[in-house]
Amino acid sequence: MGVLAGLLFAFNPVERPFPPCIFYKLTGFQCPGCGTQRALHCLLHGEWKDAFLYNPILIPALALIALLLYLDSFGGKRQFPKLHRILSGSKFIWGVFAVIILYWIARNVYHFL
Amino acid sequence: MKYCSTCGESNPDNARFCTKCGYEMASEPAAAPIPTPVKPAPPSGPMPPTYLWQSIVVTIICCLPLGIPAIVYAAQVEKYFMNGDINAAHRSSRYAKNFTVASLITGLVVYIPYLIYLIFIVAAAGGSSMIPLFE
Repeated sequence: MGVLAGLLFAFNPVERPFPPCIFYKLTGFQCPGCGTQRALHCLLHGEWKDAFLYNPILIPALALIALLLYLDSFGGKRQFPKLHRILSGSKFIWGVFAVIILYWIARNVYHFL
Repeated sequence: MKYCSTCGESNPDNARFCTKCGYEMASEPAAAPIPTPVKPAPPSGPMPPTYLWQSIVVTIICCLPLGIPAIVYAAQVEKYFMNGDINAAHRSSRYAKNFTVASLITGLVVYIPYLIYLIFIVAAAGGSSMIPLFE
C-alpha cells in the first residue's frame, strides 16, 4: 500500500505509463473506478478539485471506506452500534449499489468526468 | 372405528361420509390450525460481516466489475439475518467475501505483470518522459 501510494505521489499517471484500466482497454467503456489513479495522484498533492474531476465518487468512497473500516476493525462497532447497524443494512448497501451503477451508466452515456 | 356426529352410526376409520345418513363426517380431525405468520425474531448472535468496504475498494480502486456482485451479496446479509435465516445470511456473507477476494486476485494477476513490464520500459527508456501515454 505504502509503495503504491509512493509511486502515485512521485509520478503523474497522466505522464507516466501507469497500468490503464483493463475494463476500459477491453470494452472501451469507462468503469466506475476509471480515473482513480489520476485522482489519487491529485489527492496526494492536495489538489481536491482535480481529483474530483477525474473521478467524482472517489472522495466520498474513500470517506465511506475509512468510516466502515473504523466501525469494523477499530472499535467503532461498540462506540456507534446504531450507525454500524444502518451502514450494514440492506437498504444502505442497495443505495451504494445504485449510486455506483448509475454513475457507471451516466459517465458512459454523457461522457462527463 | 369412528362415529358419525349426526346420527351416531359407527363407520370405518377412513370413511369420509357416514354409511347410514350420508352426512360428511364431522368427527374428522379438524383442519390443521391456520398457521399464524410468526415473524421470526432476529437471531441474538452477531450478524455475519457484509465486507462492504472491501467490495467498494475492489470496485472503485481495483477497477474490475467483479466487485459489483460482492456488493449485491453484501446487501442481502442483513435482510436474511433479520428474517431469521441465519444460514442464508452466512452464505451471502461468504459469497461477498469470495467475490471480493476473487476480484482482488484477478486484479493482482492482471496488473502485477503489467506493472513489471511498464517498469522495464521506463528503465529501458532511461527514465525519460518520452514514453507513449496510456489512457
